[in-house]
Amino acid sequence: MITLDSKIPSGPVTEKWDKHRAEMKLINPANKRKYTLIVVGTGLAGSAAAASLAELGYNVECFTFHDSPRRAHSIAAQGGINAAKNYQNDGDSIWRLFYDTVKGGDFRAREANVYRLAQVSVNIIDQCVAQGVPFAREYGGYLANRSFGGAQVSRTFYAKGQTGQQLLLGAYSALSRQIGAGTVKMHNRKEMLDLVLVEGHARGIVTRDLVSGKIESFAADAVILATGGYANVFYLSTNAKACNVTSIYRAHKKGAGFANPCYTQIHPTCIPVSGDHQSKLTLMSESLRNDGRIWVPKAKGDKRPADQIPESERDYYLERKYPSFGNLSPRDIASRAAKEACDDGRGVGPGGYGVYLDFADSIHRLSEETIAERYGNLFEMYERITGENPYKSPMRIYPAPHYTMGGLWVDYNLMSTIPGLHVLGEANFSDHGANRLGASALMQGLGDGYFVIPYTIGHYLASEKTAKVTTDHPEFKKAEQEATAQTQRLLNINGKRSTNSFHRELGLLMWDKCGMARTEQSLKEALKRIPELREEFWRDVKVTGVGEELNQSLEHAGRVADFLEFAELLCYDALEREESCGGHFRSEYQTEDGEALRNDEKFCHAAVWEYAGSNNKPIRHKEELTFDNVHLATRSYK
Amino acid sequence: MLGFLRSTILSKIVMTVSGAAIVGFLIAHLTGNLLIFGGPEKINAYGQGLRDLGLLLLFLRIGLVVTFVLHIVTSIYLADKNRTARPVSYTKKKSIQSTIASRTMFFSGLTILTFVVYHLLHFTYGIVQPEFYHGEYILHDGRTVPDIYSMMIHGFQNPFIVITYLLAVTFVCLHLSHAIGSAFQTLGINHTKYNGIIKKAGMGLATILWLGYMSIPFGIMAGVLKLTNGGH
Amino acid sequence: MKLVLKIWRQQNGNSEGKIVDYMLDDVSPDMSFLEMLDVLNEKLIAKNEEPVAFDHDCREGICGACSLIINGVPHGPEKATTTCQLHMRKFNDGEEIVIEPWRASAFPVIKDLVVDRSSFDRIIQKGGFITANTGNAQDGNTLPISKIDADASMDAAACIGCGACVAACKNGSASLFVAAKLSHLGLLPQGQPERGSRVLAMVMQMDEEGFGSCTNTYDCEAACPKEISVKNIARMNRDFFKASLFGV
Repeated sequence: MITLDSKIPSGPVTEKWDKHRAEMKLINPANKRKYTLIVVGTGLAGSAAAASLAELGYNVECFTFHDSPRRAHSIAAQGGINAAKNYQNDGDSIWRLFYDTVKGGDFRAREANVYRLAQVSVNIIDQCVAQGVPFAREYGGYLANRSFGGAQVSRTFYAKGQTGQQLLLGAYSALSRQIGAGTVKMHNRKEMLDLVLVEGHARGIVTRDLVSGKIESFAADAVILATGGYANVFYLSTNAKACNVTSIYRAHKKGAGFANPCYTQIHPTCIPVSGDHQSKLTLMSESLRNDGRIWVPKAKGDKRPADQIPESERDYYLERKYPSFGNLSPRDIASRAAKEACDDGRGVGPGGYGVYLDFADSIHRLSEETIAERYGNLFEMYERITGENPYKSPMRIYPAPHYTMGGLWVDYNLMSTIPGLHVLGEANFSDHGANRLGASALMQGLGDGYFVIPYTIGHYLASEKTAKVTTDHPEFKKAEQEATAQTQRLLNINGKRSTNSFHRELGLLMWDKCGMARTEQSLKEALKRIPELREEFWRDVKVTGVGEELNQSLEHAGRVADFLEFAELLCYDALEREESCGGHFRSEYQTEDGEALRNDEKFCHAAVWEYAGSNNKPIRHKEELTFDNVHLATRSYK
Repeated sequence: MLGFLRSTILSKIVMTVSGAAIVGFLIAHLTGNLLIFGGPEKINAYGQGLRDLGLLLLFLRIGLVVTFVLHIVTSIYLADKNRTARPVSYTKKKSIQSTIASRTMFFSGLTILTFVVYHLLHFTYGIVQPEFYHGEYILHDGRTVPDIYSMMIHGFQNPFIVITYLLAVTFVCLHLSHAIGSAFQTLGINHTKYNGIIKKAGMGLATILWLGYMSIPFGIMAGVLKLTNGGH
Repeated sequence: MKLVLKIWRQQNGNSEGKIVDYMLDDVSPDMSFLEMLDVLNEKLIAKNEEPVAFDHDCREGICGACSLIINGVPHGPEKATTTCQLHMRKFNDGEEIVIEPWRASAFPVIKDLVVDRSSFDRIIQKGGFITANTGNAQDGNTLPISKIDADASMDAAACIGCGACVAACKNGSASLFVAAKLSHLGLLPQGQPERGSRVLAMVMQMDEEGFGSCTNTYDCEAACPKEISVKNIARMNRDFFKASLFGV
C-alpha cells in the first residue's frame, strides 16, 4: 500500500524552496565519494543530473541505451526554453511564469513544484550560457527572446530551430567532462530492464548490454530515472523510435505510484500520415500558425485540389469558433478542432486525416521572401518529407501525440513512492498538470537535473543512512534471473506476427479509443481489447535472432510488452477521470460549445496508481491539489 | 609541445612548408632555364655561375634533398595512416565535391618522384643520353664550360622525351592545383574574402609554371631554339 | 516501386561481412528510406530471417543516429539531408541501391549497418566542454556576445555527430567533426580560457583513435547533413598551431 506524502514545505509559496534548501541535510564533501548514484537516461534531465552530482563528488553510474548520451530525444526539441528573466522589460516575473504554467496546466499541477520551476528557470539560462550554448543574440550582444505558445510575454530563449540539441549538447559536454575525469562511469548501449529493491529501498538496476546481450546488475545508494515519456504507446508520435515506458513501468511494477497517465499532449502541427508504412510523425514548429490560416472544405468529401476550392466554400474553423485567438488557439483546442473536422468527413489529403495550413494570404500580404525568411527551413523540411511545395499549395497538417504530462509520482524532493527512487524530467508527473505549455519541457528537464536533485538527493542520503549492498545480494540475482527469463521467453515464442505489427495495432487502438477525445464507451472497448492483444502477443509474437548479441527486434519486443500492460493503466486513468482537462478530453464532459469541462469538486487531485499484480486492476490513490495562489478558473480562448 | 610533434596536423604543416620550399625551387629553376631563350652564352654562364658557388651550392643541394625527403617521408607516413584508417573499403563509393587532383595527390606525387629521378639521370648525371652530356662551350671570358645549351637542344629533339616531360610537368601542375589552396587551409588561412584570390593565384602559378617549363621543349620542337655553331 | 537492394550483412564485429541482395517490390515513393528498410525487415521476419540492423532514432534529422552509405554517398544523394529524411521519391523504379555501414577503423562495425561511434564521445571527453560547474554561472547577460560570433558558433554547433564526414573522407579523417566542436566553443568568449588546451587535447585524441589525416579534399563538407563548413578545419589548424608554438 503506497502512501502519498508530497513533503511540500510549509510557508508561502514564494519562500518554500529557499526554506527547504536551508533545512535540508547535507553530506560532507569528503563523504560524497562514498556514495554511488545510478542515473538512467541522458536527456536534459539525466545528463544535467549526472554531471551536477559528479561535480559535487558523488560516484555516478550513468546509463543510456543509445550509442552516445548525446542522442537522447531531448535533442529534437525545436522551439525554445522559457525563463522568467524579464530581459524584455515586458512585465514578466517568476510569479507570472508560475501563474501561466499553473493555468496552462489546467489546474492539475502542484503549485509548490511549479513555483520552484519558475524560480530556477533563471539559473538554467545562466548555466547554459556559461557552458557555451549559442543562444540567439541581439545585435548589441544580449540574449534574444521570442514569445512562444501564446504567451503574452517574450520569455523564450532559443538557438535557431534546434534549442533542444544545443541545450543537450551543453549538458552532454558537462557530462563528458565528468566521464573524462572518471567521476561518471558511462554505460552506452545498456538498457534498464528492472529496478532492484532491497528492504524497500531502490538499490540498483538490472540492465541488458545491447551489444553483447549480457544481463548485469548495478548497485547504488539511490537510483535516478530520467527516461522520458511514453507517447509511443500510440505507436505514431513525434517521439523518437526508441522512446519507451519500460524503465518507469518496471519501477511502477516494483511499487512506484504512476500519476495521471491519461494526460497526453497532442500537438496540432505535425505532418499527416502518408500511408501504412508510416513509422513516426514529424512535428513542425507551432510558429507556423502565426502566419498560416487553417481551413478545410465546407462540404464533406470535397476532393478538389485546394486551389480549386473557392473562398466561399472554405471553413476557417479556428477563426470561426475562436475569433479572438483564431489560428493561435492553444494546442489542445486546435488539435481537437482538427479532429472534429476530419471525423466530420471534411479532412483533406490521402486518407482524409489532414487540414490545410495555408500561407497564400500571408504570401500575398507580405511577399514570398518574407515568408521564406521566417519559415524557410520548415518549408524545406515539409517539401523534403511530402514532396509538395508549400509556397504553391497549402501545407497539410494533423495533430500527433507529442508529450506526456503523466509519469511516476514524485514528492517535492522528486522522490517516488519507493524510497531512494528519484524521477526527473518528462518521466515524472510533477510540473505540467494536465497540459504543458510550449518551451516548458526543456525548462523542467534542466531544472530538475541541475538545480533540484543535487540538493534533494543529499538530503535523502543523509537522512536514510542505509547499509551498503552489492550485486551479490539475492534480490539482484532474482531480478537478473527474471530479466533473463523474460528475454528467453520472448525469443522462444516463435509465433507468426512481428513485434511491430502488435505495436502498430496497439497504437491505432489507443489513438482511436483513448486519443484526442475519449468516451466511457471507447475506453471500455480499449480495456477489453488490450488484454486480448497482450495475450496474443505473448502467444504469437515472432522475435528472431538470439539474446547474446545486438538484437533490435528483441529490444523492441521487450518495450512493446510493457506498452501492452501500460496502455491498460492509461485507459483506466482516463476512464476514472470523469472530467475534461488539458490533454485529457472526455467527450461526455464538455460545455455547450464543445469546450473542456473540468470538475474541480471531484477531480482536483492527481490520480496515483498502485500496481496490483498482473491482470488485476491497479489501485487508484489521490493526492489532493490545493490552489492557494492561482485561483481555480476556467480557461477561455474565445 | 610533445603532442604537437606527434600529431597529424604537424605532419600536414611539414608537408606544407616543404612543399612551399619545393615550389620556390621550381620557380628558381624555371627562371634559370628560361635563360636558354637568351642563347647559349646566357645559359651556359648561368650554369657555370651555379657551379662557382661551390660549397654554397652543395648546401643548397643538401637542403633541397632534405626538403624532398621530408615531403616524401611525411606523405608516406600520412598515406599509411590514412590507409589504415579505413581497413575495409566500400563496395561502392562516390566522391561528392572533391577534385581528381585532391584525391590523387599521392599518385601524382609518386609520378613526379619517378620523373625527378629520370630528370636527374638525364640532365644532371648524363646517364640517359650520355652522347650529348660532354659537350663544351667557350664563354666570352674565355673559360671552357659544359655546354648545357646544346645538351638541352639535343635532348628535346627526341619526341618521346618531350612527351615524357609534357606528362611530368602536367602532373606537377595537377599536384600544385590542389597543393596551393590546400597549403593555405592547412596553415589556417581560409577566409571568404581571400579564398578567391588564393585560388586564382594558385591556378595562375600552376599555369605559369606549366607554360614556362613547356616553352623550352616546345620552342625546340618548333625550331625557335636551335643549335648554334659550336660556340666560341 | 521495385528496388534491388544490395545490403552489407555482418553478424557481429568479429565475423566477415558480405553484400546480400534483396528484392523489394512494394515501395511507396512517400516512404522515408528507413521506412523502406522497415518494410524489408518485416518481410525478413515473416520469412524467419534476421532483420537488417541499423541505427536510427528520432527520424527527423537531428539525433545523428542514422548512418548509411547509400550508393556510395553518406546519407544518400540528397544534399543536406540525413538518411531518415531521405524519401524514396528520390529514387527510380527498378533502381539498384547499395547500402553499406560507415567504414573507418575508429568506427568498428557492431552488426550489419550498425557501427560504434564512441570514439567521437572520447574526443569530447578530452576537452569538448567549458569547465563551468553547475551553479558557477553569472547572469547570462553579463557577457555580451556579438551576434556575428553567436551565429557563427551556432553554425558550427549544428553538428549532429553522425560521422558522415568521416565516412565520406577518403582518409577516414574526423577533422570536420572535431573542428566543428572546437569552433562552437572557440568562437564564444566563454570558450577562450580553455581554447588552447582544448584544441591540443582533442586533436591528440582524434589521432589516437585512428582517424586519418585531413588532405583537404572537402568531401566531408559536401556530405555533412548540417552543411558544416571546412573553414572550421582551418580554424582548428590555426588554433592548434598557435597553442603548440606559444603555449595554451
